[in-house]
Amino acid sequence: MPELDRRNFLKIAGLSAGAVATAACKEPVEKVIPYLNQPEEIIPGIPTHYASVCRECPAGCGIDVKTREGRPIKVDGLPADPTNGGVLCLRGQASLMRTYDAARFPGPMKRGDDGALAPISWDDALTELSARLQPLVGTGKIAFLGGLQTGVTDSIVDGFMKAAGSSNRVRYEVFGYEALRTANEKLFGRAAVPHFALDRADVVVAFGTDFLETWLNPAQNARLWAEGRKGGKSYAAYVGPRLGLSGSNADQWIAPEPGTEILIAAALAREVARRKGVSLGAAGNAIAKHSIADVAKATGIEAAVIEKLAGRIASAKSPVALPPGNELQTVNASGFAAAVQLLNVASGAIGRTVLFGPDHNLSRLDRFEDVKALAGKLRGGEVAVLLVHGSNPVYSASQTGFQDAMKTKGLYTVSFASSNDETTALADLVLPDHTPYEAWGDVEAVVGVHNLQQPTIRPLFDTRQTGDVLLDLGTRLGAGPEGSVQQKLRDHWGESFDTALGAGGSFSRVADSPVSFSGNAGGLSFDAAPIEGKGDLTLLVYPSASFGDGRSARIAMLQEIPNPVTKTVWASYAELHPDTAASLGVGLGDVVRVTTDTGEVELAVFPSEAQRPGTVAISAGQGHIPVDPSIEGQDPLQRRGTIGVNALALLPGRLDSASGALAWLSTRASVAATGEKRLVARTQTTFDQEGRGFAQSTTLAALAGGGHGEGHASSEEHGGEHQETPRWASASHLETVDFDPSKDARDPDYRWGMSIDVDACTGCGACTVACAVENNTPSPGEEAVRKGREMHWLRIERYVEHHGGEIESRSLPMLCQHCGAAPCEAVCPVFATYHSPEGLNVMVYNRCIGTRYCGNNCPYKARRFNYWPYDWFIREPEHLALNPDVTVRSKGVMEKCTFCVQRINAAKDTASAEKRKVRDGEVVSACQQACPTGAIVFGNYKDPESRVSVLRREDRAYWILHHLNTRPAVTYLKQISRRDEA
Amino acid sequence: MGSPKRLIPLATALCALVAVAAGAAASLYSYTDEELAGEVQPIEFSHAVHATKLEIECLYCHTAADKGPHATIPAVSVCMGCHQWVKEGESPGSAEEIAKIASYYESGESIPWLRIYNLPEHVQFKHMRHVQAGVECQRCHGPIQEMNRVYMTPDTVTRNHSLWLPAAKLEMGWCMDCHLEMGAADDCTACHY
Repeated sequence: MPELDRRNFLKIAGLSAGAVATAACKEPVEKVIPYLNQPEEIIPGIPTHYASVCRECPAGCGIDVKTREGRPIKVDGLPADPTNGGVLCLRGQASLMRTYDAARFPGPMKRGDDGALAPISWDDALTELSARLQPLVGTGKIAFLGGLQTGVTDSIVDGFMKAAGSSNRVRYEVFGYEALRTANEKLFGRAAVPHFALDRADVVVAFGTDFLETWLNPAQNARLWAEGRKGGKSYAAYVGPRLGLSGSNADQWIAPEPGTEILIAAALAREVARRKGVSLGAAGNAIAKHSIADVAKATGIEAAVIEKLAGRIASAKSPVALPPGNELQTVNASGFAAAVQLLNVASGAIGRTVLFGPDHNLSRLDRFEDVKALAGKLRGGEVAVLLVHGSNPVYSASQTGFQDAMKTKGLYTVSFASSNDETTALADLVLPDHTPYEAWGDVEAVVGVHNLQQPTIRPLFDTRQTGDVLLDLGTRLGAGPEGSVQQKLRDHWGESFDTALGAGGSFSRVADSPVSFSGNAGGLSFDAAPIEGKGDLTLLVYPSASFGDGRSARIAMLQEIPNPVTKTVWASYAELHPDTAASLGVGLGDVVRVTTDTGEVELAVFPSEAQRPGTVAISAGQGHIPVDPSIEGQDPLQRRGTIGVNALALLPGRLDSASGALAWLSTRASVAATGEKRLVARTQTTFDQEGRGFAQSTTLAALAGGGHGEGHASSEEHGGEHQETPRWASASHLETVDFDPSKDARDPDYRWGMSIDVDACTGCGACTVACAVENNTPSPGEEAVRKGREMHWLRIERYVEHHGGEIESRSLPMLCQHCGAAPCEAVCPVFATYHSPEGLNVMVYNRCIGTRYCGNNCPYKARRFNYWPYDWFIREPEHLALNPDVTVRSKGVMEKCTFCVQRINAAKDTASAEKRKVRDGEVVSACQQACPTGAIVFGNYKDPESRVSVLRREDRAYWILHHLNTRPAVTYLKQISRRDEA
Repeated sequence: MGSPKRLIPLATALCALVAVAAGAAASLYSYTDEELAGEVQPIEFSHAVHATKLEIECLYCHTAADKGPHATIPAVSVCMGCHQWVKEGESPGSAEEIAKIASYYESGESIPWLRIYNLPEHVQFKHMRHVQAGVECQRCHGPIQEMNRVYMTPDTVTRNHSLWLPAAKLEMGWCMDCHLEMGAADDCTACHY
């Protein structure tokens, strides 16, 4: 007779109780439904990859779409694309969620007499619309407002407008580079947006350029930036009133009086030209009055600082100055851009690091003033039917009065938006477009780089591709080209279509075409721009890396990504310098009313050292109307309510007259406390390392001198003012001698580990989004984050070091360290977390009973707990975005970084089928794949030649909280400080 | 066959509480003959006919078993590949059953088979690793080639369980027995992630 042990006794006893209650229950019957005709390229359970192009912003990065059983589940950069070269920014990573948005329009909608949208069939909608269009053909009363379109997609719109007999087409983007185009036209005779080769630059001077957030192609910029900075090369200075993500990565911060930044550019151009003996012609005369001494006085920046920077640029081999981003777009934006380009002429950057030829196709764009003119035409009754595609002027160009113009009597408006937005809320007819993952298309974002866009999922709703709708309408009008977008693409590409489809397009390198400097500034002024309006503070509206011009704000996953500087989520904040905040008598979380001549908003204060005193900064992109007006209040995950405030609406609508751009930096604002207080949702409460040496730094000199002997055991001091070595590190009895992570695994072949280069990390957050998409981590919302219940497995910590009056930011990706001696493992009462033979710190979800002891004991705060059943909040069709290779965790379960164990196992599957071991570089974690700067490397420590093993032996290597004897498997490489030694 | 009825003598040997418990457990977990004969599927498909009598290779229909995580139920077009010609078998009623395939195919609907072998969501099982390692289908699926309706064999239900308690279907202990025996991965992350 078998032995009856305690465990089995309990089993039987437990069963009996359960059995009485559920005797009649049976397991639910599941169905398994095969394909009717199985597509040849699909093996269920094995991903299929398609090349396509990202449409989240006009940068048009090539993407590799990973699909499972006919639905895209992950997007990464397409390695063949020469612009982004295999990396993708956080917005691109999250763009997939737009397709699976539960709030999309289910089909065409028509606004009834009651003002509400009601479903209508495509046939009825198109019949009605063409009936309205028919009598207008040739009258010019049909207008089309869209974003940047290129290639065949663009020519289809042109074809439609031709059929409609109207030239009223406006291509508008919030980031329109109007000033740069105008400046280039005046200086070089070409209104182009050139390529800025950050990889070749040894000195970078950015004038409020958000090159890591939205400027041109941020993924490409980050990739090139890291390339140029590798190994301590390159020095960067940032001129502007606030340090954003880009500014935080610079080595020097110059914050002149807002509006006078142009003077710095002019003074630098003048001085560099003088030192290098370059003649700037008539333009040189125009900036001749901006001597360093005068500029120092006007800007409040010491002459020595400007002088030194000028010297640095003049003696650099290939310096580059980056023209201002929207943040510094003043009423003299064109002059500013011209001054920066003059600096590039003086320093010899034109043709070396500023390359005309492989231009960004942004010169096709119209300008802000054209949208204003269109609004005027609407109001004046010159337009009878307005079609809006990929643009949201009511939100982003409210200064044009577009909202009222849309309500003009007799105006019929059609929106092609796939979900509700401010402009669509005023439209009479909604003809929802496919999302980019459902549609055909093509993009030529950079001259010579032709990307093809192909559908990777069957349309989820009753939507139609706008290109197809326009072709249909054109046919109905009797003049338009027939066919479909797909057919047009096929015709255009001819025989190479199938090859191009597989490759993602055709990529040719366009040779640089030299431009000649005309020698005059074409009447542009180089004077400081006035900041006008009532109030004591200067209003800074800055572009957001997560939301772009606001179109990405709907994506919950991006709301959950902390602002790279403030580390706040899900809201807007009035960022004030601590001194300014103190003088106003407000502090963190105090609600203030920010008033300009055009509007006022109420939002909480966030004191931030990363900006000039006397300024108030608000991120652009937030404050949208609720996506579904029928939902009252906020749903559990706050996806449909209004989040934050629309900072763009505070801008008074002054234009840079030379370029027709909207001036973002042009107004003062008054800030007054309301007496209210709000809780702040943020993922980090202090930027002070408190001497614990999380984000360490070294200097080139120390690396060159200390390469031998001591090596990485200790970190150096900075100019004698800051001791970076952890206070406890000197307690040698705690140090593990000869720490070798490969010893922390009993498997003979593998010990998985990671290396993170703090010097390369810009803190952009692409890895965090990639991790969330790959590993099905939820976005629990503001309320949860306030309680410290964010769910990201990988976060970017930001630390600030003070050097006298200057601040230095460091970004530190933090994730489970897969410790060799993990504190979490010892305290789990049920062995839900344990150390795998391959060195992984494993979390077995189905064993976890939710004591949270492990989370408590983790010194890295790497563990996340499911306080709520976040899986229940997933609405159809959002569940289609889930990665089927990763278990969706439920309430009461602890989770954390797995080192993408599903990818390790997939690599092992391949290796086992080929009867070999996994090779170095075969396992690429999601964060590594996403990282635009290549800061993250994953691999096997047991292989002494693997990249992680090699990096571990670098002099810059260190381990975080190593003195706790956790034996972490993540090796960090110190940041290389390029600051001047005191 | 390891019938659950063996529980009865065992239960009587235990204390009264355990007797009640086990009895109740048996009522929950015992399988009727009808259930052992398998669920009634939308089409009376017989593995016995296809695999044993006609000697069609498993991989002919379950094409991905050696290269994907799922063995895959064949697409209806695969059935039709033969059955557009073969419209009647030897067993009585086969013509009607075969006709059902065509009607599914023509209507554009797939066949809603009932899932017999089902794993919980937290298990990541991969057929190809097992097939590539030379594990026979029968090791998990029992004498599948002899079955008319597919059922989970009592063998897979009770084997090697102390007390011979009928276990839940495809239990981890049962997987582990084989993994240890074959020297396969014994780490949690082999299946759970």
